[in-house]
Amino acid sequence: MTATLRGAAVLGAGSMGGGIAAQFANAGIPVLLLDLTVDTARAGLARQVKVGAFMAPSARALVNVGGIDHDLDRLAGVDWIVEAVSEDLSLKRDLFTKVDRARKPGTAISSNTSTIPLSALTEGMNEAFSRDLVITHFFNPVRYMRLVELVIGPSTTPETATLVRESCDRILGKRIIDCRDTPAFIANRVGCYWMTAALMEAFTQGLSVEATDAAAGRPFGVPPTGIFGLLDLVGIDLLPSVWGSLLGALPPRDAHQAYAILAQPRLRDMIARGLIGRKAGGGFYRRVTDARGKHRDVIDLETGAYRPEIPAAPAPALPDLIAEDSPRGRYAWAVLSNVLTYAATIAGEIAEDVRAIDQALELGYNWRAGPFALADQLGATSIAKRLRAEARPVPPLLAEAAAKGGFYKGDTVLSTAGGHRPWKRPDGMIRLAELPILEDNGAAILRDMGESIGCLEFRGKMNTIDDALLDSLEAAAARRDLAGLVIANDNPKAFSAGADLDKLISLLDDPVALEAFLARGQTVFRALRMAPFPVVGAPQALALGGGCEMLLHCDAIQAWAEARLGLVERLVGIIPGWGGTTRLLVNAQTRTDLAKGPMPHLSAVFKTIAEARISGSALEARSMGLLRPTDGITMNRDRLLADAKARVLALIPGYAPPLEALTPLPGPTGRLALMNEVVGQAAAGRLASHDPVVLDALAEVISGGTTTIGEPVPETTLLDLERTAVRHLLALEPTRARLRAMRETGKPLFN
Amino acid sequence: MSRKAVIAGYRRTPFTFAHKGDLASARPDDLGAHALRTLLAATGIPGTEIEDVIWGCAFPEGEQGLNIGRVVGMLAGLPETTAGATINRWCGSSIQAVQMAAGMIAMDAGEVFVCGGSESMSKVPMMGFNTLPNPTWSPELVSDYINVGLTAERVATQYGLSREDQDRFAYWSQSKAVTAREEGRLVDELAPVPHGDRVVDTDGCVRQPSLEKLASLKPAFMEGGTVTAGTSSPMTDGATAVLVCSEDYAKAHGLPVFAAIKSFAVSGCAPGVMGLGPIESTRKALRRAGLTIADIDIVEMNEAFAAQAEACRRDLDIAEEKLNIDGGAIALGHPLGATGTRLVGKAATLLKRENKTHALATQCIGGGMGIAMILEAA
Repeated sequence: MTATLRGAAVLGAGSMGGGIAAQFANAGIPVLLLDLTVDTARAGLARQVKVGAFMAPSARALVNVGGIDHDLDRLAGVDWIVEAVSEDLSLKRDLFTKVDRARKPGTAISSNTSTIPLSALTEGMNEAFSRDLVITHFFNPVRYMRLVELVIGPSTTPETATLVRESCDRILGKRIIDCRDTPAFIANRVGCYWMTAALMEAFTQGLSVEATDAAAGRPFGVPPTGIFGLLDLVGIDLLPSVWGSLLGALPPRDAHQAYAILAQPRLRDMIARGLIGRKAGGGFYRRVTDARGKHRDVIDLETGAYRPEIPAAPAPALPDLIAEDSPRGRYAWAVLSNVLTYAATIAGEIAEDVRAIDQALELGYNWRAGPFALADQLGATSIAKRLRAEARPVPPLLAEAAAKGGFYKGDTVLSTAGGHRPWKRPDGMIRLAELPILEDNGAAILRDMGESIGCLEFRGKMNTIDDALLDSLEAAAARRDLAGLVIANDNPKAFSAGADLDKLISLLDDPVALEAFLARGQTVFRALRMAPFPVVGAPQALALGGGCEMLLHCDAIQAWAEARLGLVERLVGIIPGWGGTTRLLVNAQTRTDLAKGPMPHLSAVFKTIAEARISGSALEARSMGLLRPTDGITMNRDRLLADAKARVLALIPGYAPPLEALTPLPGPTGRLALMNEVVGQAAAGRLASHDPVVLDALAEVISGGTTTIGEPVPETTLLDLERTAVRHLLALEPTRARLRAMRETGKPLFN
Repeated sequence: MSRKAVIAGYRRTPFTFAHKGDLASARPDDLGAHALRTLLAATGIPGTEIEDVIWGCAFPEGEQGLNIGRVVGMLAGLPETTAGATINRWCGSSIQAVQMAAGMIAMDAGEVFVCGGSESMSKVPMMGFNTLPNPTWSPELVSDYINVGLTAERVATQYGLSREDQDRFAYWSQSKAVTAREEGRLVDELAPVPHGDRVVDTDGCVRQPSLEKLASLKPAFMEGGTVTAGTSSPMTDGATAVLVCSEDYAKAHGLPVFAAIKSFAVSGCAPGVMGLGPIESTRKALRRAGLTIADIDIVEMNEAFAAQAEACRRDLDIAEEKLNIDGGAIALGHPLGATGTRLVGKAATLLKRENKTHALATQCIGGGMGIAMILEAA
């Protein structure tokens, strides 16, 4: 069953509600954001703009604001209402009563609560309402945190469950962890325990703030803020309220209670003194600027006084650390063993399998591996053995993992009810690494997606484009056994960071080889474009320079929403010369968002290349013309490959390679007009001294060289102009200095 | 001149910031029609008697294309028999429109004209959507012709005008406009515009000035330069209209005559110092009127930039107390093609209000020109 979401509403414009509303808008869904008054809603929206919750300014326009009482009847026009007001049961229930009067029957409602169980929310509400109410627990910041914890009730209607599930997944782009209706669900139940343990064991072992974070962070694959840095970030004042309510909801025998964190004297003292973290100017750490310059002070945990930070020695890898007979070694073991024991003990209560718990921590707390995956890395058997040696209890789940070779075995995972089971993957998710290999040339692997669709996967560190990669692209385009091709990879940093600078620099004084390399890139990208089957590029991260040019040659782009594209060649003193300038120019002719006439399209292309900006999102790349309106954006990273494949399949019926474009361009008059902008920018000091030279070369190409209005320019002429411009620029010393600087420092030189 | 032309009415829409102001989404032809309708309602002239709508617009394309002069007349409900023309002399467009009416009256080619201008700098970018300069021009010449901010820098250097001189000039212009508004001296000329769910009835660019704030602004056009956004006229949306008719017609219909047109001149100068245009055009207009600058009581000189306005003031020896007494374009805004009729309309009504004899309306024009019109109490 599928469900269509035509419009959503979010109640409460705080950081969570505002963030959820922004994410709906990022996906192109109109959303109504209601708060106490229209003014507080507007202020909430403004905060989201400020913190960068929107993927592009155009998304902001999809959010309508209003006051809850004043605009209540507008709720009848939406399919899903997300409640995100403060964690106050009576407040939520009052609101639900109002919402129930205003909503149309069957509208899904979800509560973004982190602590209140669904059973408490539905108690006393009418049956129809209760059947449409579920819990969706998002994490802050909503745009970037990929987790949503979902609690479906025993009486929830299938329609509501499907609509919320599919919308969280496909529209909001989240990975859903199904949770049982237990206090704090999964991530915070285990995560808060970890925070408590990581904090309290530091006091037990007498570690300093710096030493604690050095041990609690990197060795565990936990963000380097460790525990004290994390508390400063979230606010130490949250402890009494959040932990208070969590511990209040947990049974007295729950191991979390034993730590008595709320009675910890140093914490109480710091809260009393207002030293509650970054938002208050300081907590366990504080930034100081004095005669010594900028540095940090830290709290001495014994005296409560600030002293200058003493950077701790880096901790060894976790296996060595927990074996160390030292305060930090004992600390790491205590945290590890207690968190694992706790998680294994409560696993059956909160989740179906241990993978749900690991994923919740990985996505909700940014751990590299959740507690069970971490235990497998260290060896569940050796952990169980050490616990027994210390005469500590071994929870049955850990004992089972120890006996059966780990929590994970191949494609199976330990069920909390016992026994390994294959883990379920939602429909329509394809994992690249699992696809069969058709060809492997080292630089890239051609995989089989089924239905005669190939997937070319780059394998480099930043996937820079060199001869080997060009060879593999050409070979893929030349295959006769494919009906379509996807270009995709799982590199977390880069789809492709562009042409290999080492290669380019090595050719600088060899004009023949340089021209050959330039022509080679153009030829291969052109071959991709002219392949007898459709080609879809699926960027998941940075696609810069030549990597972005490659995408521009695809029949379609299916981008992850957080992919970042940019033609950044100006920063190394050249212009896009592998057909990217040409493609952007040809594509621009079909843009309908620009004024008519010979110049607006040119100006838009000129701006995108001249600014050399990297888009902050796929949506922003669209406004820069790097994505066409017909190109797709996938919100859920896990679905990118499947969407790209669907895109290729849709292009196959009746596919023919595109025709060569003839582009009407103005010639020298257009170049003069573009350059006049540059003159103004240069005078105002907004350009480096070499920029006008680079931009003049760009202006010459995109105005069509020596053509005039009425004489459209063929693509081959534009490609020749591109290469000529790049060769000309590469002969100039300031361009060479830029190239060298980029290679040596990774940063652009403003010369 | 065989027949005397007089100014018998003046109205304008409020001027508001382009892109962020209250009229940014208004169509420039609608704004023009509104100014025209309000003017006619105030004067009571039947539309059938109007010979022509002569309308200034600096970048007459897009929503201000299609011969906006004709469009404005039709939108305002004038009869089909009234003609319409668009005049383009960039910033000098609508003073030129008044001159054309006066010239037609002089040669007995009509009795009553509506002259005005519209410019939406929100809807049509400065230099238009498609700038295509002649490729035989050098980049320097194109820059001098187009990048007016840089010409202001050049004028500032040439006349030794410091950053402080310009900030003071801008402060002075804003102060005069704030006082004029507070004392209700701007109300009579305004035609409040119903737009969306509200009525826009005040100028949006006028701000209480602060020398500290002006001093804190970065140079807008040239690194290390002296011209800032605070000492430049802002991008503005607005429309203006004046009624120009023969002296006899005004008498016969009992129209309030604010001023008669005494003389007119245009002149050229180097494009790179276009801001100095008013100097020569004013001198020519004075000569043609048989007057000297000392005879002029009221000066409405456009403030494209503080640098050029102050340079012209010094060069022409205009007494400070005569210049832009209700504030200039730095404070009020400068909707290019609409500014000229604001200057003429303002100068004419000031002659009456201040009970003076001679007034000058003058402007600099991009590309290196000046335009000047001298008015005389009638």
